[in-house]
Amino acid sequence: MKSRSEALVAYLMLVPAFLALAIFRFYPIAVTCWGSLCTESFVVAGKQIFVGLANYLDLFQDPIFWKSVWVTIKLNVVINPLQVCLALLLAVMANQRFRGIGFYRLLFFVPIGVSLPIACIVWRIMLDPNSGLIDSILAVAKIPAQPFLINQDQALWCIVAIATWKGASFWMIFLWAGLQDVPREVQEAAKIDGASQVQRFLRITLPLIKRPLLFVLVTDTAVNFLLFVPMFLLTRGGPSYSTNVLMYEAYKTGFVYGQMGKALAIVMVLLALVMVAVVAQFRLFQREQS
Amino acid sequence: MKALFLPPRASAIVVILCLWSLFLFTVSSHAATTIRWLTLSDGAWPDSVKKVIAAFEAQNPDIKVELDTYPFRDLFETIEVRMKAQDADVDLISVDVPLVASYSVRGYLAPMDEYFSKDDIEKTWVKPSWQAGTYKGSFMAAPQNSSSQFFYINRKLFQQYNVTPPKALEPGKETSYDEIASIAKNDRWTWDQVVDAAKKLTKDTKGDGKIDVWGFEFDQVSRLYQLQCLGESLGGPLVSPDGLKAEGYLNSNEWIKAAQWYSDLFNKWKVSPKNVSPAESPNLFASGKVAMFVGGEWNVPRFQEAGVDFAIAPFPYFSGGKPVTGTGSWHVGIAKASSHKAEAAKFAKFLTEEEQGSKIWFESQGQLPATQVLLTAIENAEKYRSFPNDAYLLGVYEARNTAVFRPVTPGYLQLEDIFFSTFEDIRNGVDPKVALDGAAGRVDRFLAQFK
Repeated sequence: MKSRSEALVAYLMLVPAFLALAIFRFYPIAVTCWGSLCTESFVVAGKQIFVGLANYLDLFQDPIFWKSVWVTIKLNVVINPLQVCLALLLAVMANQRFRGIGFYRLLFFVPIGVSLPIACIVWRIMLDPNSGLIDSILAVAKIPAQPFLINQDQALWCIVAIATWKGASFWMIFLWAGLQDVPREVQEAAKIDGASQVQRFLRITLPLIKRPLLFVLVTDTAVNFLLFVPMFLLTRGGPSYSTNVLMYEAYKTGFVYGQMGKALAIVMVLLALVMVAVVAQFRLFQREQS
Repeated sequence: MKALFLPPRASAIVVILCLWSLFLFTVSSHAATTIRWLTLSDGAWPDSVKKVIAAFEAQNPDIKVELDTYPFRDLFETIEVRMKAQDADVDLISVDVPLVASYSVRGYLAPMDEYFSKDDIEKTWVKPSWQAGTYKGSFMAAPQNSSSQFFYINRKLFQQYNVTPPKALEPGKETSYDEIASIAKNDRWTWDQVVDAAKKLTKDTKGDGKIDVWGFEFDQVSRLYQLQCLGESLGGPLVSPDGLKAEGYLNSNEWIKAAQWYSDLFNKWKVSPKNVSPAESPNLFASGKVAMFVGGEWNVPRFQEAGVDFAIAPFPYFSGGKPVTGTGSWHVGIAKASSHKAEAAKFAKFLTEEEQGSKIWFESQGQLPATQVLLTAIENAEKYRSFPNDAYLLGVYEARNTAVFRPVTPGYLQLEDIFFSTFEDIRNGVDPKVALDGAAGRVDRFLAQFK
């Protein structure tokens, strides 16, 4: 009896969280799913007409959609491991203890203090092919001026660099917290036993920070699949659709072209891609644990 | 039966509450009606609009006009979201004239026929302007102004580098409509002449390998409104006459030739800068970094204020083709979901039709008017014989002889967006034929839904 009432109390404690999830997650997903099966009436503004899978069929026949899928996957295959590895490296460096470490930690935190839109605008000025700072630095090293954001081969990687500059510092915080929990005695014992620094990192530190690492990887993946601000502010999906990720294509389809049903279909596809990526990451970590 | 009397204190409270309710009802029934106008935030537009609003509210103290302003690109997106949601908080919207058909089809605008009589419409505005605001016989959006395109010359740079400028309207000279018509007919530069001069005027003044003065620049780089004149000058319309097909039009030989010329400006001759947005472009001319600039008449006050020593020549054209200038501008329409349509119409009439409002708007914003009265005033008033006001005489000439409206198509928004990204790609070096073939296909995918 006591355990049943305790269980009831526990469930009641979870109700607010479930309510929040239902209102802010499940309900919007349900509305999006329904909206992706509808299109807009031309007779009454805003009125939805059920069309079934017509939006998806139209989408799958659109070459620009498939290009967006490819750009999104390409971006995420590069940016996710890059950001996580850099975040881990920064966390390991920030976790050191020596005189003056405070100054370096401050430097690591600077990108967090700058909002992404501001960072994009500043980087755009620096990457300007006419009079930007980066080309001026390259000129000193006798490297020819680069087009950066106006070149279809370079634009996406410039965005990767800007997002990584911003994101690595942010994710470093979580990994640094994880590193703080690694017992020093275990490290010292391994050191006494003759393990090198690399061996201690790979065999002791990494396994012990698996949970925060999984959190960072999964959340970073979701964030990067939904990356939108740099494309909106810097390239508008160009040049030649080379930075036209699914999130930007969904925005353009819904808010510029007024095809909200098709835009919601793109969002559902994006949601499916994120879920596949996240499930794959969980399975990978679980396999390694077992 | 017990008498239903309240205690004295309670009675006093009830009486006070009744009197207060009566007071509030009386006040609210005479309170000003507030109408909201979704419009532009760019440049001097809000300040100019506020002058008109001040004059309107002085005459109509029971109506208040509030602005909800957005930058150019964001305004279209905001209109899409709020009109689709049938936002009752919006009473008036600024309508870019080629979108009248699209907004009407999709139920964003309320017809204005009950507020504007047919006689008044035909008497007030020039025919192309009021026709552009009409959809299937209903008057959907009132013309706020028209527009024209000029060829601005930085006189100081031409003198400095010893290049002969085109015949133009200049400071210190008086002119007449006939003289302007003669210059436009006989001395209008071709695009080849522009490129020749631009090559001589593009300079690396600091010797650091970077260009500091550019020979030429467009105002609204890569935008349809600005570049339509290129293909049209060669005889190539953008879409089919019914507005439902781009294949064979947008990627016609004429447009490929025009696009190649555009690409060469940035990639072959390098007389125009890349990576400059439409918002930034006029600032280059205003700061003396560009020798020749083609753009709207609304730049005249801006360049005067910046202190540029400039002249105004007729808009160039392709040799062997015909002179073509962009025209059409903003209209104002009543939002279908508005609950203050009568008040919104009253303000729209003041702004666009009535002499006082339209005159305040013209004098502060500086855009070519669409009303017959103001166009006649420009032709006849002494004020418009001297620089820079004589530029409006040039605008009147172009409106009568070379102006071409943007294509009427329900898919104009998609056409314009795809056009912009295509010409940005062309500006950045993509092959024009490849870019235009792709663009025509994409536009047709969108237009198919309207067939």
